Amino acid sequence: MEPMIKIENLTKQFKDNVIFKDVNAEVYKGNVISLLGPSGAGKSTFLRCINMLGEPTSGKILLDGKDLVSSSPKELIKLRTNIGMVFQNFNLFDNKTILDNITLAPIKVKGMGKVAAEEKAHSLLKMVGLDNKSDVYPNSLSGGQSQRIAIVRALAMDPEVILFDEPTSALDPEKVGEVLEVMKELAKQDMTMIIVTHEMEFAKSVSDEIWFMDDGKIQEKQAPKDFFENPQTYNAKRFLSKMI
Amino acid sequence: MNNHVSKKIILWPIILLFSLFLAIFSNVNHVNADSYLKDIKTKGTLVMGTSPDYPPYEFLSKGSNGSQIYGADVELGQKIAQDMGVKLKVKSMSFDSLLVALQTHKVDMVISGLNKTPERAKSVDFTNSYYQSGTGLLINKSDKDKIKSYQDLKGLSAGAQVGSVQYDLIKKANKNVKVKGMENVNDLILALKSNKISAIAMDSAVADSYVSHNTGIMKISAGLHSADSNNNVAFPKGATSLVKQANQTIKNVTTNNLYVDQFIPDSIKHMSSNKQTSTASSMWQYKDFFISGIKSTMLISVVSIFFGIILGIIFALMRLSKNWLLHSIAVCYIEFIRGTPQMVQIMFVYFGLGAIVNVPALTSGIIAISINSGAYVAEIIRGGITSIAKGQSEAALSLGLSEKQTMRYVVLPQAFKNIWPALGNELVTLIKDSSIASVIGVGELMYQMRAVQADTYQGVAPIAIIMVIYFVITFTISRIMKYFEGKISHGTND
Ligand SMILES: Nc1ncnc2c1ncn2[C@@H]1O[C@H](COP(=O)(O)OP(=O)(O)OP(=O)(O)O)[C@@H](O)[C@H]1O
Ligand SMILES: [Mg+2]
Repeated sequence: MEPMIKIENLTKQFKDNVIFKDVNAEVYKGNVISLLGPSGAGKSTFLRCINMLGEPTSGKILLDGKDLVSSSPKELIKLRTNIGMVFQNFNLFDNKTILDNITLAPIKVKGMGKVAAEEKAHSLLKMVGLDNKSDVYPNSLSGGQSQRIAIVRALAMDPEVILFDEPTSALDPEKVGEVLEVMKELAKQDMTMIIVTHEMEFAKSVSDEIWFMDDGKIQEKQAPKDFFENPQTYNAKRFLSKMI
Repeated sequence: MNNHVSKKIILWPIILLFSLFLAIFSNVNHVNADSYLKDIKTKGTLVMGTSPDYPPYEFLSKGSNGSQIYGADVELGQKIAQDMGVKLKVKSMSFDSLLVALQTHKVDMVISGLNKTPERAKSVDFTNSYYQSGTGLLINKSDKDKIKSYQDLKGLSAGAQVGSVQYDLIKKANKNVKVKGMENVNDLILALKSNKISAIAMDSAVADSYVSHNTGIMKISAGLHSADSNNNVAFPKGATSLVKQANQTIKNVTTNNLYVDQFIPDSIKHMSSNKQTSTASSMWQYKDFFISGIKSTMLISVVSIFFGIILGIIFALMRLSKNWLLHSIAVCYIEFIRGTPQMVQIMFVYFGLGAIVNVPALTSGIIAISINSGAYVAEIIRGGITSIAKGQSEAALSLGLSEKQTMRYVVLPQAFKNIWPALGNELVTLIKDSSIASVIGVGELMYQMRAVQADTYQGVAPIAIIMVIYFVITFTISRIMKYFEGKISHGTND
């Protein structure tokens, strides 16, 4: 079976500062990857390269065999619709109601009808238990609610894969659970996901694979059980010892 | 280093722009010399430029439809046009602008109590003299024992109209006089009455008409004599055919003494008689002036802010663009406009651009003010855009929206919400600054105020009235903007 995402020799530097170099990795359909690593390791930078929000310095990112790095702006837009992203700070559109937040891209990018888009939005909102919020503006929501809406917004485009950059780090501790619940549900439904997180228990229970990033490389790719019980590299050992 | 290089390169478009205009101007001066008269006959109209604040030679007064230009010079203009077999059209502008207007062919002829001087003769051609005027000094009656001639002005200050012969005369005659130049005779009268200046040097006949409409001031003979006190008609340099033709008319006028016996008395009939009635009632009669001023001011403001915002969006996006060329063009435009006075820009559009295509004063004013406002709005909008958190556009891009869609649906709506108060301020500023358009003769509030001043010989009341009008307009606009601010601000941080 061909991998859904294939990353080849991916390198990113800001001016002379090399963040990571020659990274190779593959993601198969339905897999959940947790990307772990110390602060400043380049996890966010790596994730943002995958949907080209940050342009890699060199290398390839193949989605279903098509390279995002060398594609034209038009093709890129098309490919991007297949890659959802959920941000640490939610980034809901402040000027739009929850419903409009969710339906904007399906209507404007996919050309979906308004009625169909709203119907879909409502059913997704029901799934995360927030259908009653469809007409309010983002600023009246709690962090946990906002992040669940942000996930719904990504889902509304029917992406093949969703990237999560520390989706629970900006939340009050008591709100973390409700967001992780939604993500677990998605994992159960075989959604492909790459998750940057510091929630070790969650990563352990939900992931198919752990990627550990440090010193400009992905140092380990392991099954969760192996990674947490038997890390191979010194860096990973040090990282885990600090986590517990 | 990089920055240094790009700054240098940015200068090039400006230099190019300038050379372009220089090229245009030098062309203007080479219009084929003797087709002038023929051209005017084909056109069927002779356009006369004048500065109508100089009764009885030229002044604004109430006519059948609003304010109209009357005066002995206008009658002379009629006569010249009549003898050419064409219609006369009179254009009003500030005295300073007259000769420029002639050189740039905004007008075909200038009659405005103009004296022939050697300096002026270098840039325009004069006819023979049609009238000899004298110079008088206007003083406050209370000073009549103190000031008997210009010699008594030692250590005092005296006023004169900028660009007038009297201005140079008084300056040369007595080195110890502080000479204050003002654009407008009405302002000079106000300055005299409020003792800001002790005397005004002005044309004798003009001084007479002001004395007859103002209690408290009087005319004394200045004791100044100058060979320059001949009034002449001015034509563009090289327009010999026109000068010749006009000289025939002038010969007829002078031999029959028409100017003194007919033109001046005729004009005085048009001068307003309601000089000392109560302020309120006399001002009420001029409501049409003010209303038409309000209309023009609002027209200029609304149209200019509309185009200003469109230009502002375009140039803000250009300045934020990664495309180096677009970015540089926007930087040049914004910096250039913000670095030059608006008054100069308006005159440049009217006289400069007007030399290529003939744009009416109102349109010129709107173009100049739109372009000016565009630069300021661009900076406001750029600030608004950069103030929107990056996460907003990243979220939109991650959903597959294009850069354009991201701008349109996510960033700009939020930016506009943030900059709404600043845009409101810009609109208020623009309304106030539109008064500058009066320099090229656009009939907005300021201009109409001048007209009422000239017609009523009342300096202060019209000023007070337009002050109140401006305030009512700007205050209402601020309130309206506030109201909409409340409407669009739901959803965030309230
Ligand atoms: N736009 C940028 N310009 C220059 N350097 C940057 C930029 N963005 C990130 N970096 C640098 O890249 C490195 C990796 O940053 P990144 O945010 O990817 O780390 P991270 O692993 O996500 O860390 P954290 O866990 O704190 O989020 C850091 O040293 C950071 O300073
Ligand atoms: Mg990060």
